[in-house]
Amino acid sequence: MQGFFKRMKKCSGLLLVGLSVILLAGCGKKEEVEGKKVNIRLAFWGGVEEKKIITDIVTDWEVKQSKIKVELEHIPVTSYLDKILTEIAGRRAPDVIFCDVNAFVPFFYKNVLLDLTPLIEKDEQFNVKIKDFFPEVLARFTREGKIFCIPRDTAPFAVIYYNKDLFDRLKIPYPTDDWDWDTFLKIARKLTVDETGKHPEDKGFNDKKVKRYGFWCWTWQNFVYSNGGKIVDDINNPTTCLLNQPEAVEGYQFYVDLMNKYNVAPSGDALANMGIGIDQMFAMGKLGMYQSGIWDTPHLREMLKCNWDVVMFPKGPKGIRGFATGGSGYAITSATEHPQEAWEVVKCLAGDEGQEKLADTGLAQPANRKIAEGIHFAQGSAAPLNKGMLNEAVKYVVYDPFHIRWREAQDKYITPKLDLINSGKISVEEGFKKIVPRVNILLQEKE
Amino acid sequence: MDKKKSLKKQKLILDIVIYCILSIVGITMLFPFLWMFSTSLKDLSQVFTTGINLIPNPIKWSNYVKAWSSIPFGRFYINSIFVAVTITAGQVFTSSLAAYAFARLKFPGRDKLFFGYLATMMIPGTVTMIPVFILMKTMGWLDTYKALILPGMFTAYGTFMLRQFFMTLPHDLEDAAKIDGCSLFGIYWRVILPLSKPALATLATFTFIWNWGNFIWPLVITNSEKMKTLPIGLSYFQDLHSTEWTLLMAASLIVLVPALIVFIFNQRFFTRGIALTGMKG
Amino acid sequence: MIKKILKKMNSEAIGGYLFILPNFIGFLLFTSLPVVASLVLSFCKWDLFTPFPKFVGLTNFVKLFSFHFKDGFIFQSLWSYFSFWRYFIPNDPEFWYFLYNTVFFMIGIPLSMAGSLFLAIVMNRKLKGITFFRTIFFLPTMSSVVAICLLWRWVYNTNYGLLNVLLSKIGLPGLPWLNSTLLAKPALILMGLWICIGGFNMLLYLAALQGIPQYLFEAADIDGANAWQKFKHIILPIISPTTFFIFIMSIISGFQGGFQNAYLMTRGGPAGSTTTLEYYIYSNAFTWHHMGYASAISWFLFVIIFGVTMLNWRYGGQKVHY
Repeated sequence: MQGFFKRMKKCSGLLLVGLSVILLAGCGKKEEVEGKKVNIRLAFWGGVEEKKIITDIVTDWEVKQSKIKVELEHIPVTSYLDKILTEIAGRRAPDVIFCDVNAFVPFFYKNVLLDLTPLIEKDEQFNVKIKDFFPEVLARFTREGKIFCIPRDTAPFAVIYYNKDLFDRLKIPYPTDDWDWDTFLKIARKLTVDETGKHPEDKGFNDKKVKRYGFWCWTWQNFVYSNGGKIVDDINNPTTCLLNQPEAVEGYQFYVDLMNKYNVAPSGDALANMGIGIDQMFAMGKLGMYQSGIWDTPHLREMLKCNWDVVMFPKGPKGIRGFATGGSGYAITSATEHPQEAWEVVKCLAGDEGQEKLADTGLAQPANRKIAEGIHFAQGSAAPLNKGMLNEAVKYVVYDPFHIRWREAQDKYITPKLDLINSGKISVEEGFKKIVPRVNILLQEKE
Repeated sequence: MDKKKSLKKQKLILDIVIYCILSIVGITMLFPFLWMFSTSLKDLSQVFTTGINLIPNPIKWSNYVKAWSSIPFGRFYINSIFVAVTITAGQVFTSSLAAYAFARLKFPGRDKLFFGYLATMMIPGTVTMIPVFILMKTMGWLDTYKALILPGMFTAYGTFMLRQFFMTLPHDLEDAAKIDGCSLFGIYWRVILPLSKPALATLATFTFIWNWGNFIWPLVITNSEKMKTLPIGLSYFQDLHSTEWTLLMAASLIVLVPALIVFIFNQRFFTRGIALTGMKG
Repeated sequence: MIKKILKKMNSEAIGGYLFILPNFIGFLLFTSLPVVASLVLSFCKWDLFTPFPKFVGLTNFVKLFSFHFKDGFIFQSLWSYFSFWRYFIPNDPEFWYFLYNTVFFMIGIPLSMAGSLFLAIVMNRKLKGITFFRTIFFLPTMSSVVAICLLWRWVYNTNYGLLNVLLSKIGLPGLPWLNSTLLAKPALILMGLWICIGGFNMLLYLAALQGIPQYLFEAADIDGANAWQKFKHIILPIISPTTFFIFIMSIISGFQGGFQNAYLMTRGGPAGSTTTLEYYIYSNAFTWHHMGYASAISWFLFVIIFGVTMLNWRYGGQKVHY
């Protein structure tokens, strides 16, 4: 036993020393500030190309000045909010964050973001420049007259991609931006064929063996909005859910009918719902048209060998337009110790160069209207040629309701019921009737 | 002689049956790997075709070049290897010590303490992540190797697993060592550990592979590019609305290689026959 | 009291503490502390944004467990006293539904344990190329989950998926695997089985089988035991601590799991049918900013898992048959 104790003492002693060294080493170290430069932490997301654009712009800018050092913190988009929230909870929020139009809502309510208005007003140059931005886009980031986020891009879900070669082959005239649901349905029917070459309205059409679908869509809201329906009474201050109103029910009915009645769209499949493989189906000519945002452009440019273009989502029966939308911008967290320096970084990011480069890739529509209308976007010669229509579409965008509990209402009450409606288990009316009271309860909550 | 022959025949038939079962299961398991490999060589427009097509045409080796140059693989590799190896070494050592005590020694409060270990595993990581993050911040460890390594090193999992294995070991050798005057540490080091090589190798493999693939903790705890690990790199290929599937698959395979090597290397320990046979004989 | 403990302190006890110490320090700091923090949080309201969680007592637990009666229900007839539970409506019905889903997914546990044990026994032989097979079986465990899920989503695709293509080849109609509230759960269970059957559990069993002394089998051969008898009387008893371990770990990961697969495969749908409690905890914590409520659910889970473990500890696993 003697031997054991000796050995044990030696061993555990060593371990203890080791552990305490590790512990102490951590405590003694302080975050270093490099020279006199102010460190600004910038959190952003983006795929490989987007990341490179942002990194290049910031590093180029860093060289031009001597006061600020930017710490770039790239976070994969899939876990972006998880990480930002953890940092906010741990009171270590970055100084400048990337923020999308929906994450902005809780950030605003919980006072995470700094009011940028005084900084903008002090800044003569930017004060002029901000008038170039799309007012509809800027409005989302403005509450009670204060601007909290400088938009970078906007993304109306108003894009319908279509295969021009296919239209030529079937002798269907190309759709134009002023088409309506009627024309749209006619075209979709012509594009859809089963294995024996029959169209959906033909006798003996086999909806189990469809060779090519005419259309695919994921933004159901467009159908509600275009039919004159609303999801809530007031987007900016929602109190009541209006999905049970006839306009909303009718609009959604048309969306469901495209799949289940007219058979021009593949029925909602978990895979298809997430958009995976849709661009491939489109590329292989197994899908004539599909709806999404402009962001598929880089992929399609790489993949498609045929001619293709985009057209605006069709008008509703009463000529009404309305599109759900996304978009993002740069904001400063209220926890920052260096608002002025952080503002310099935001200005660099929101500058023309970043938006131009991003527009060149085809990934996004700039939030700055001058750039969106210029050679980098609307006037650009790369496909899709008609992308300039998005500058018009911006006028009709409808954002998600500005409410702290909206995300929860959507995840908990709306999406599950829509699943049941889409698979034909319950009717649209029945489903929406069930959704409304539960969403209304959440809308009463203000925290 | 005759009996031996029929036994041999029986064994042969059994072997053939086993090979058949293994092959059938094996094919389904190998399939995704082949599919990943073929996808990594495809053109983006060929990834999803109707049915599953395993032969890319044309073969695009350039995907690997592109994937490799898209993220700082070298640095991420070093980080991942360093982190996973350190955690594995630390975990196997400290867990085996504790497991030996829990399985073989008698001391007051042993079982209660052990249950305390078990109990902590019953709380999901989702709700403990923020407290650990705050702990790391308080210690000033954010964006350091310490934060990447230490929280993963002392899990109850390893202790629990090894304890269960140590319990299956026969007592006779240990008793013999005790009679010979071997110290407790001596028994642990010379009797228990050598007998538990398959278990230790298994734990080492698990710990390595699990930490090799761990995503959310390294993501939350690191900020700078130079501290990040491979799984974070893989997620670069996923954007908000689209994923670079061909590059992702190529990168996934590049990342899979070390885990595969560790597994194959540890294989020889999994089944090394222990000389238990001679013990009672 | 202290005297009593000191009395018991022989060298073995001190040795025991010393052996535990290195692991215990780290464990105390990095595991217990956060766990205690989450317990505190379960009595708080915290949206992650405000600097300090607000103590709200039992509110979270009340919200979790409370029921109300369906509108218009009153105790009027004798019958109503017997059937009143039918008019119970939980205040958080999603939670109970997701608890049901979580338990449903655990059907996979006995299946995967049996499958892993079977594979381990089969592989526990000196065969040519066995290393090759073992490596292949482990591939799904090692590969990236994102890739695996993508493949399976493709397999299950209603229109073009491998499974439906195969079904149609033998003349059966295709099914909307991931798109039906009825089929989505079994589909995910099947995928889970495929991933884990040759993975960690199989290796654990393999390692346990290595420890069985050969002379036991030889003795059984002499007694003329058949394969089943050998399995029942030699293999099963000896590996029972491992079975106990695997079972407890499976229960733990069963109650705490299902988020990643469901998120990547179905986003928890259709109609919430593949949402597990882990998914719900995650949504509450990070998507809807109810950290306190998420912690309360976690601690409710803790009680269940703890209970199951205790039961198991008492009946079964602990006896070391040797």
